[in-house]
Amino acid sequence: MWMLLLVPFIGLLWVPFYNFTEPSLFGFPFFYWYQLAWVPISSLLVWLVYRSRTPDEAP
Amino acid sequence: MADQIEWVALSVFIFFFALVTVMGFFAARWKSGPVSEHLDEWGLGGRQFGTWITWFLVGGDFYTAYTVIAVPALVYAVGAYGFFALPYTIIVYPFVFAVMPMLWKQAHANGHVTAADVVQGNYNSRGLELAVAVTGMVATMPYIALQLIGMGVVIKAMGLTGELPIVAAFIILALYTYSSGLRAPALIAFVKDIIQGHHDLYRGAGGGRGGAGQARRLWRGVFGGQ
Repeated sequence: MWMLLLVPFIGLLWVPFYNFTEPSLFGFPFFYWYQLAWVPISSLLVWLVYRSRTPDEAP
Repeated sequence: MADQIEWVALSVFIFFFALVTVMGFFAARWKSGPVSEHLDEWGLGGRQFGTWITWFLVGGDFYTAYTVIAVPALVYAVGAYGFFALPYTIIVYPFVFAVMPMLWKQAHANGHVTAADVVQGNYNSRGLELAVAVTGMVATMPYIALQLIGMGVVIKAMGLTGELPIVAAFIILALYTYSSGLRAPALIAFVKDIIQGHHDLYRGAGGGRGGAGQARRLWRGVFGGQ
């Protein structure tokens, strides 16, 4: 489960993944909305890890 | 920049500055413990900030003049390059979630106050302790510089000129931080986060005179539209 925390690093630190204009969303180029989309996705991933650990586990 | 003094903006600024200054000095007595000389009291607010106060404190310290003025200015000036701020703010959270509780546990169990104390406790090396302490101070300097630039822009926008207003503002800030320690930013963070939240909602909804137009112009600048 803790591996989930690495996903945002992979998704965001390699710019060629998202250096495109299309597909755009509400007129926002892919480059911008892709990065903004990671804000809720990262929160979700942290929440999943938080839920999965046992209360006494030293996080 | 306006040459004339913007009285409305200035009055609002002075009101909040006075409020924050009073709160800053008052903070010394807020939740104060029995032994006020101890560094735990000054540096950690007596180790009794719970989840909510810490949440406000982190919010207030994370989203500052850097977020509100420096990054938008950079994006406006150079476009996409300014977006470095977004990925790095996002990946900080998983990192903090994984690392900080460990740090907190150790510091709590052994009574450490600073990161340098934790390193000294773990590795028993004065050299490493000094390196961490110095890195912490040096790394904070560019950040303080950015805060000062942000503060300078705000003060100039109200029509005040010269270095004197920013020097005065910074001295007052330094004085109440000196007298209240971490309690001052923690208490002020409540005011700051509420103003910030209001600002975000207001701007997001395109409110205010010329607000929507300005936002549209900003986004055009960012995305290179007409």
